[in-house]
Amino acid sequence: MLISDIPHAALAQRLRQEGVHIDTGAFTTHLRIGLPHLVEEFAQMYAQYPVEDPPGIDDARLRIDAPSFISRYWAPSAAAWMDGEKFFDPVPAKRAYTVLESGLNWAVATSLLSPMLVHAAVVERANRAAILPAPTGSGKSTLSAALSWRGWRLLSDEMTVFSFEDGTILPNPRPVSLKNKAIEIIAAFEPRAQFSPIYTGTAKGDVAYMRPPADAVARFKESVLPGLVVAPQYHEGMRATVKRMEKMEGLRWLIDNAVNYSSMLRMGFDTLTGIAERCEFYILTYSDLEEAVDVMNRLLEESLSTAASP
Amino acid sequence: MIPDAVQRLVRALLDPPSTLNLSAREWNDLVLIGRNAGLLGRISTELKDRGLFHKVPQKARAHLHAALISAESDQTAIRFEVNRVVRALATVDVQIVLLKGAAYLMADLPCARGRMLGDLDLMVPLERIEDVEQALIKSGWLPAELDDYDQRFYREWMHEIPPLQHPTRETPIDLHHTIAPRTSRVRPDAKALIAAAVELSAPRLSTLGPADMVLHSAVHLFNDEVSKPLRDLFDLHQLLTEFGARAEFWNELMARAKLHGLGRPLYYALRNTRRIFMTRVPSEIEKTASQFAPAAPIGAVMDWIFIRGFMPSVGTEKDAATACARWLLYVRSHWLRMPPFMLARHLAIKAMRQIGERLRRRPIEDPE
Repeated sequence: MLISDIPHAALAQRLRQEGVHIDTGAFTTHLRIGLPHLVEEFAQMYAQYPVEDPPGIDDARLRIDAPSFISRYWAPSAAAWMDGEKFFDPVPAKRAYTVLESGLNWAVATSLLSPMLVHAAVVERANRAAILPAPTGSGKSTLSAALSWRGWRLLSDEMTVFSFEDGTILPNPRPVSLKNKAIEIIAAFEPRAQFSPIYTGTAKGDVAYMRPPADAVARFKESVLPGLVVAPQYHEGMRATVKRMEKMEGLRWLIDNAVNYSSMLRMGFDTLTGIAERCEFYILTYSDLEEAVDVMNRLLEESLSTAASP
Repeated sequence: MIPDAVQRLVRALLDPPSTLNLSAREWNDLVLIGRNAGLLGRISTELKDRGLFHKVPQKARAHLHAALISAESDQTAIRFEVNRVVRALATVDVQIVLLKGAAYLMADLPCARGRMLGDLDLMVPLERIEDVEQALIKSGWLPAELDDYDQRFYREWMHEIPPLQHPTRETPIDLHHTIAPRTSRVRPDAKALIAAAVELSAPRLSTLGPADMVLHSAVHLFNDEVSKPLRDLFDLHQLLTEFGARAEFWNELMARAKLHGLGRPLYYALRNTRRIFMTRVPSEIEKTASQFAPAAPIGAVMDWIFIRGFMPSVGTEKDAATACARWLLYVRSHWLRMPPFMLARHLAIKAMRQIGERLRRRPIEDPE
């Protein structure tokens, strides 16, 4: 059953009471929402996601609601609870959806479900995952959003999740968070892209979320082996250029972006060195998305041809 | 009185293969409560050692695996910190007594298996504690930055000095000179604790003797506020089971309890491990320990408070009785820690500080 299969009134009631167990690929979250307007935004953005019914084993429990009875009416705001504990300070109710998305990110980062989490967007083509590790603000969400409309499958715009059993990447595609100018850029880049409302006045300025293409959600149980690592760097006015990185430097780049490298001990080392052995590392500097997509396609072809001719 | 989900957790600890009959939803609760109670890593180890891990549902397996890695990571950090401490104290002539988790780990006791660890708890004689502190600071550990009141709180009233932390490894070291606050109603004999310490095979390190180790675990769990009470009670269950296999242990335990004036916490330990983990205690020992029991009506209240208050905090947020039991445990731990006037002043200072912090605090938004 998909979220869109549940009639709106029934969905609102379920979210308010027992909650829904929403499956985003690698993670299932037991989600409860007590704010009526947020139910609507959620139903729009997550229409094509399946719910587990009857519920199985949840990975996280998240509740978004008014922080207190008074704040339902006076200075309406939204707060998030994970496993029953409140985290984040409340934000104005009109930005409740950003709390939901941050909450779902937080749930991934703290669930400990996966042995290895790398702060990176990740996309797939020809059964090869391209990991795009980068700190916030380097355009990894924007680039992965663009790629997701040009033949690449979006696995995540935020966090690369590795399976502890075989080291493959577990997709967990969710609405892509775009900030400020990136919102217009993606809207102009791809007319089919559908967006949430724009939330103004967040700590990062304006934020809007792009719904992942239907294919990304429909295929989110298909895990992928890492194929290449490309660190994106948005640089205004620059032509797309690519530079190969030494493997050692690339490994360090991965380690720096790993959420839980040191606590993963041997397994963290093995997972990341395994990637370093399999993959080539590049730095991609770009300003124009079409050019960046071309470069990504070229890098993929190169990696496929080197793999074919030993 | 014990919720079904917690009973299944207890069963999983005592009889790990029993988990293989759990439904998906029961696994869901076991993972949630087990992690909250700090016991998931243990279940994971047990199932792996028995070759049963692959029979666990895939989703639960991922959580169990993660919990085990997290426990292993803690254990590695503690082993390394112990190693660094021994090195830093090379020129200080003092026997280092490991306490709690670090002791279980370095002595290779069964309760260390799959156990999470946080702080490194050490004990040295009071007259050497300054030398040890200075030696650690000289080797790069930093003392916690505390105001005058907190400094005084630790140094004059507590059983430990302000925590030390190495800036890169960040494992907090709690350096003790005894096992209960100086201001508390119980006054264990610190010299006797050190004199009876058992040397480990590793040079310079020791742990408390078996009876003292049990008593320390008991006084910590039943007189202090602890974050993972069910895990600590399971530690006690395992210590009693491990040491209790030797018949003389039980009489030593009673004798040491009398010596340290820790009869009451011992009574609670024996009673509650039996109630929850069905720990085997010789009946004559139980009879002897009952001399330390509180008056009957108080005993009944304490039974209720401990069982309720020890339940994992997750899933019981809306439960008024549990919240009440936890609050009573909190109040009681403070009551036992210091005399009434001192306590009143301490709570007043803490409350003022909290108000101040709230006024100063600026809201953080969207910390994505």
